[in-house]
Amino acid sequence: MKKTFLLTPLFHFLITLAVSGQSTVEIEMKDLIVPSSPAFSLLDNNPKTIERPGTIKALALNLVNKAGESGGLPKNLALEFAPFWLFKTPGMNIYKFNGIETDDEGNFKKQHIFSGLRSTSISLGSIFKDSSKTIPVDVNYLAYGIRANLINIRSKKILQEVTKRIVDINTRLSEAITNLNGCTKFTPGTPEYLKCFGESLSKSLKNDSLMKIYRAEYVSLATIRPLFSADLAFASSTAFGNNIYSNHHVYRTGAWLTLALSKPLAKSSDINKQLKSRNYINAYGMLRRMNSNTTKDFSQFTKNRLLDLGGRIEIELDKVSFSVETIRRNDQDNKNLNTGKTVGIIQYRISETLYFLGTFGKDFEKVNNLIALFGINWGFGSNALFQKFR
Amino acid sequence: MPDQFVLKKDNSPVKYKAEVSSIGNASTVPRLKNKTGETKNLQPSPPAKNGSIPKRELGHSNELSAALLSYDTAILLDNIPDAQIEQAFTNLIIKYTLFGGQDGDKEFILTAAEKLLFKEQKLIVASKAIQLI
Repeated sequence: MKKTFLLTPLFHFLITLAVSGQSTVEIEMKDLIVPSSPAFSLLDNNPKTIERPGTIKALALNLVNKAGESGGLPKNLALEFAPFWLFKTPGMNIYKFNGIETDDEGNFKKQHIFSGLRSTSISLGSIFKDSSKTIPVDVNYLAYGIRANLINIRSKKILQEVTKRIVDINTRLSEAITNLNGCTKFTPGTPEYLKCFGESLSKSLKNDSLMKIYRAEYVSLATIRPLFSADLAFASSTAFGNNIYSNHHVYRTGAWLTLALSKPLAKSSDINKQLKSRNYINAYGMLRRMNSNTTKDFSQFTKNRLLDLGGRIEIELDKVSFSVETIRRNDQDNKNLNTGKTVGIIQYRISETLYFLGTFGKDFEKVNNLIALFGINWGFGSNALFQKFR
Repeated sequence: MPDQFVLKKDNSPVKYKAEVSSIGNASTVPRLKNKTGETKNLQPSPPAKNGSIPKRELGHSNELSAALLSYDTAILLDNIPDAQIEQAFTNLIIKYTLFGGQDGDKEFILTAAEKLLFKEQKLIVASKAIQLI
């Protein structure tokens, strides 16, 4: 009996691999999620190292160096930055950063649902393919992309608690600073005083168990799933043949939109239960538009325009989740190639990264399109569609 | 060498304030060391003001002569991604203002040498001293 239990999923898993290998359309829900670096995504490039300059000066220096190394368009560039972090922002504070407006006493007044726009990031990438590759021409592909968290709507109760924790931490921090007396032998503002002040305060904070709780709660509250979020990305790329500027063509252009609705099943009045809850009802909507020009010789180009739509409704109950998802592909140039997939999915979490997966439904193909598979899934669980806030 | 603020030679009131611009949890404790070397803690920043101190009375010019006003600020960068900790440190702005001096009001800005980052603890400390003369 035990052997059957073990062998049946393995058998189905192997069958599934064989069946899924026949599919001509290879698109999954996770492909439709707004990518973290749209420029690299557009070039199908997964760079080992991404430069993330922290200042305007570092950004300019990076671009100049890359251009200088290649003697023209930068080759194999992978650069990402969020403009917010490059500049000092007078008047910024922790409330604004969390999208919260308070009164003078620090009580929650309202939330700013567009505050996530602050984390908008820009990615720049290039990849060089010489004439020995797919095209008999040296081609430098250059892409730029932008990613933004458009809207975040969070529970009022959660934001009230975030505000309270900020005040708790600041009160405790003031007490800790006031009680430090060991640095009076140094003159304030000097390097010796700063070192003494920082080391003494670090020690004091490490031994303050209440402060540790406040800090951990603040992080948990501030990063709890928003009730609703919308993320958007856009990227475009140009292919330059033989390093000649005039010999360029638009390669790919893409746009992504992800909408996520997440309702915890714990009582909204019980903050502790909400923090610990792994029970949610989720709904996701995704859209991806991809235009591309394909070529075999860099003189004749074929246009290809695709619109992919995806949706998933999911119930998460601690270790198990049930969901139904659908993906529709519309080929704007050849309607006969329009296709879709609708499946039901059951996932059981064995460990944080190991999932048992069961899928039933209709695959993309017009014939032979029944899916019934079981398998073990590493690293991609029921939460993978959820992008952590900020 | 601390910054200097020239007092009036009379009994007029002197006021002070501090404005902290940072994305972390912040608190500021001002201290006043008088000419005899005695130090007293002044009222810290209100918790809801996140390190900033609204305009407050410090004392009268003739009492404050040769005193040292200092501000100790601590900032906790919880919930800031590790990759952005140094940028949060670089982008910290603290503006200190003293009111009622011989030349009127005077602003002092925190310099790079007056702050220190303890990255593992996600902690920034800043200290500014202003000599009242």
